[in-house]
Amino acid sequence: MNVWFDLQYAWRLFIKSWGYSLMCASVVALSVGLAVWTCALAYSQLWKPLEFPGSEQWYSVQLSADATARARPSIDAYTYQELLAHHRAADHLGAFADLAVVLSEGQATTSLRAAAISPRLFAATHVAPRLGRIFDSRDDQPGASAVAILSFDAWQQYFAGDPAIIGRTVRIDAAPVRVIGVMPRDFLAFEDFEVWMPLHLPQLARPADSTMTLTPLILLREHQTLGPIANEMKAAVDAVNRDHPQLFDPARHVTLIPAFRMFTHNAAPIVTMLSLMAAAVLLLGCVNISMVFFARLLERSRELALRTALGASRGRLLRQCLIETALVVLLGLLAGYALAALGIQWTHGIGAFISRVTASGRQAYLPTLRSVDLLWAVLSAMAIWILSTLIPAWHFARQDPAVILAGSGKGATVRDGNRSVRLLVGLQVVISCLVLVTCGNVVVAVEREVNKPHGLNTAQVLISIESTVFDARLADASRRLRYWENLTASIESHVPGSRVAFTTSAPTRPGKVAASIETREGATHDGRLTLPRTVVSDNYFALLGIRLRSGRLFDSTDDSASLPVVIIDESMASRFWPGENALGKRVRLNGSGQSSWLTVVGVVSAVPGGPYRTDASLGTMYQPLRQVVPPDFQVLIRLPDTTTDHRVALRAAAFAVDRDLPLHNLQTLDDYLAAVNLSYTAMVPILIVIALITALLAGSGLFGLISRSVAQRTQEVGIRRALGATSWRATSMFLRQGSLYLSVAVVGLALGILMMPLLSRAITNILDQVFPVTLGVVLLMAALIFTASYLPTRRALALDPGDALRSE
Amino acid sequence: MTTQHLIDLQGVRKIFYTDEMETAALDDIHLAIDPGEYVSISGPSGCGKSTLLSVMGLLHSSTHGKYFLNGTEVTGLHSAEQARVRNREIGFIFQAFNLIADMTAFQNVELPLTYRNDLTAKQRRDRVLTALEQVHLPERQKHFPAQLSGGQQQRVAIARALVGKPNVLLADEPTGNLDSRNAQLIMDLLSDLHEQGSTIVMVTHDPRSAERAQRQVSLFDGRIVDDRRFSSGDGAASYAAGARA
Repeated sequence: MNVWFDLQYAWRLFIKSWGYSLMCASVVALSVGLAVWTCALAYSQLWKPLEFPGSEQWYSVQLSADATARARPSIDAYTYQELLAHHRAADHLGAFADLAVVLSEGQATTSLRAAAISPRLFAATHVAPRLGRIFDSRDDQPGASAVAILSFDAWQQYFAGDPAIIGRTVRIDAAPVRVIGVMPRDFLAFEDFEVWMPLHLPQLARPADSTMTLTPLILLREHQTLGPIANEMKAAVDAVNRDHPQLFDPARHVTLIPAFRMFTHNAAPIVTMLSLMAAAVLLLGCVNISMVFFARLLERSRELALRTALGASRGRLLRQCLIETALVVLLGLLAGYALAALGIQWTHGIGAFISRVTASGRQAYLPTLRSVDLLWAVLSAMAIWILSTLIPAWHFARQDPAVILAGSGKGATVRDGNRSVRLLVGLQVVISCLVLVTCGNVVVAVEREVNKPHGLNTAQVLISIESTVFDARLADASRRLRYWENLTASIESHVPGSRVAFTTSAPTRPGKVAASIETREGATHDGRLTLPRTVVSDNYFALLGIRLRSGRLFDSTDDSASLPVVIIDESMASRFWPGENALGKRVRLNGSGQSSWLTVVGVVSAVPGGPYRTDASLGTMYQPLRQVVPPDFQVLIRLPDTTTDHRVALRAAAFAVDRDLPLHNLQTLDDYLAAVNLSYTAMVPILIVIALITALLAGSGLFGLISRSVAQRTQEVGIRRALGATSWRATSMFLRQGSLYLSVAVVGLALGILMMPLLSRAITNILDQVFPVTLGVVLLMAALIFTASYLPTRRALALDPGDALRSE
Repeated sequence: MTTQHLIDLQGVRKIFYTDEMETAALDDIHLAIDPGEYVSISGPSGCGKSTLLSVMGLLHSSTHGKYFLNGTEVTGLHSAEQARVRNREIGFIFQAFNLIADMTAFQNVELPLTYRNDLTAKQRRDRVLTALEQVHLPERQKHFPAQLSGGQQQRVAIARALVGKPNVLLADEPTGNLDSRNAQLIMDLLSDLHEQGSTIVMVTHDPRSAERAQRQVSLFDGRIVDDRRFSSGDGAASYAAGARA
């Protein structure tokens, strides 16, 4: 019942000081919202198990250029074959490969996200099919009939949920394939595939025969440790590196990563950074509310002293204070949870955009709000509630009530209060500087990276995001060449005024090929060099606005009968032939049986590539389509206008040429580039918001401190002015107090700078602008400290000295 | 046979320490107050009147000496125990009323009872109404302090001091913030309470207020320099051994 009495009083204060209540609730909301959103993001990116039982026992086998480089979940088929041959320890070793297959049903042709997967790997998920069966050991044997398992969505969308689908033969990649199963609705193993087919791996005699890139996974036995398996894998990869030095770097390194973060482990530093930022904001919020509450209790110190005089124990005073802040924190908690939900929705919006542009289906790594997040929100709010209340409340509960009630300062009561608040403000300034330096450097680095000129004229250009792969009917090079000619003509006829080019990879994401470079000293980097390479049609450069720097572009004479040629960009020219004319120099490709020398006939402007492309300094080389005649391609189309959506006409144009070779996922090049950048650009507003919050919290904390100090010393100001002090001298008294915090800020700046090398693994250019960013933070803090010190001082100076002398 | 004093201060000293000096606010105070006494404490400004009241009210601990309240030594009690004693044994009346602005008169009076866990809501309500009736303000129970005159506020404060049925009322300049008419009303109220059996210790520098008490203690530089008892009714002064120091 006494609690009810306290609660009524707390509610009255809450309503009476609604501005204060809302401000504090906003701080709690921002702190809790950010903490919950970050927690949900960190869980989805780094800890969320895959959506099948026992997935924590699965590990992804990943390769990196060396032990310190980023590991990626793709392995060439030969290395995988060797791993398969030498693995003993793991329960299973299997792999899947991403495919883009074409399903033709009647007059409709659709490209599907597909995976060729080891039957045992698929079976090891222990997920029962909704219909039919899953793969067994017969399905990947040579000569076995082609079979496929459909996802629930594919079954519903393309076959209208046909209950007789099992055993039905469908046309996939222009060949008959029998459907043997349909997976349950929620099945999402590794990626959101629509079709699974058994992985057939021919025995490869040499690495150069590898044409497939695989994503291998291992399944640990019960209670098995990772060490022996990692050693076994390392030995196998080292042996491949050693046996084929012309193709593989001896430093090539194998890493085992939990399967649930096989695609996201490289985001760990970013997620960790965001988590630390959220923790810092939480702490700042705590300190800020603590300070506000401190100031508020100072105003009410007489009331607290009275309560003590009337017999309230310290425990009762603490309880009273806790009840008062509980209302504010509760409101903040609710608003914070709502903010977190909005943040999750925003993240889903980004995911939806990427999913639409890249046609990647459901995103397995998007955050969701779980019940544990609500618990986390409650815990965060409770941390703010208890810490921000108990410290000042305990301070005031220990005050001498007689001194306060007598209204005189016998003893050190007021000084103690100031010392505690000064410590809190100092802590706030340190944390703010740390957060500002970190956020500032990340934002600047990411902005510089994503805003690099890409050197492309992207206006009105569409690109087929997924490669179209030729099936066996077009194994012959002349047929493929004829297909491209027919497709070009068909597109130009369906969309008059359009221009068409072909490429094997998107402009900012060239493929990689093992190569050797001919220099004055002869071939160097023999076998150790992996160069970005794209195969392009003659008009690729003109269509994308890539400028010729020297030599010539490809033309119709660059075919299989002519001298093998290559065009390189200026980055590659300056990297390998600095200060020389690269024209006439030679490059040799080591893989795919192409061992002849290619002569450089042109140098074009550089296309830097997507953000944080590790091989950006190597540049890109281009080979002519007519000489390489690749087995897959992407199409680039410059449209005559953007007033009409030409995608339906373009699909019809492709269907008219070959119904089994549709154009996959046509998107504008601008959207594609935005989607590529989005995982980085999305960080920018988050970090800016965090930086703004921290700066505001630090500024308001400092403002509160100086305001209090000014209020307490107004009489002193009057005395000083009565004795002849100028306004400036009175002002400088408080500015000096504020400027002390600038020296405290150095600690935060130093801590922030020390964090930069930790982040440089994910954001490689983060160290580029450390000095100007730090200087900017110093200036910002100086401005903040000056403003927070000067504004309240003006109020004291606005009083006549006589009034100031009479103030209490 | 010795009677038990309600308040018994034995050799009490109170020293305030600041950064550079120490100030003895009370020096070797020996003072015994019996139940039912009405004592005024007076003296010049800074002589330690309010400090003495604070020590009696356990708002300050003495630096030296012993303090017995109702026969029990309360020197050096734990803060929680001190709070309990303040709540049940002592009622405070302040010069500045010290009502909580955001509570009604009723809630202000109820406040000390909320620090007890042995009363039901109904018991609390009955006690509050009784206390408000004692100060003739039951009709103002829903008013906030800002809606009351200074005299009414002080009467609410007296009701708050009475509501816990304390053994002693400690009043620190209870009329210091009031005009003469309201001061007269408050002093009449205190006299009534004394006649009803309350023990009152009042700090005042107003001689007219001091004369209402049956015992006048004078302080100077932290020491008791005079302690007079007056027989009630005849107004004749009878020295009671002066300061026991």
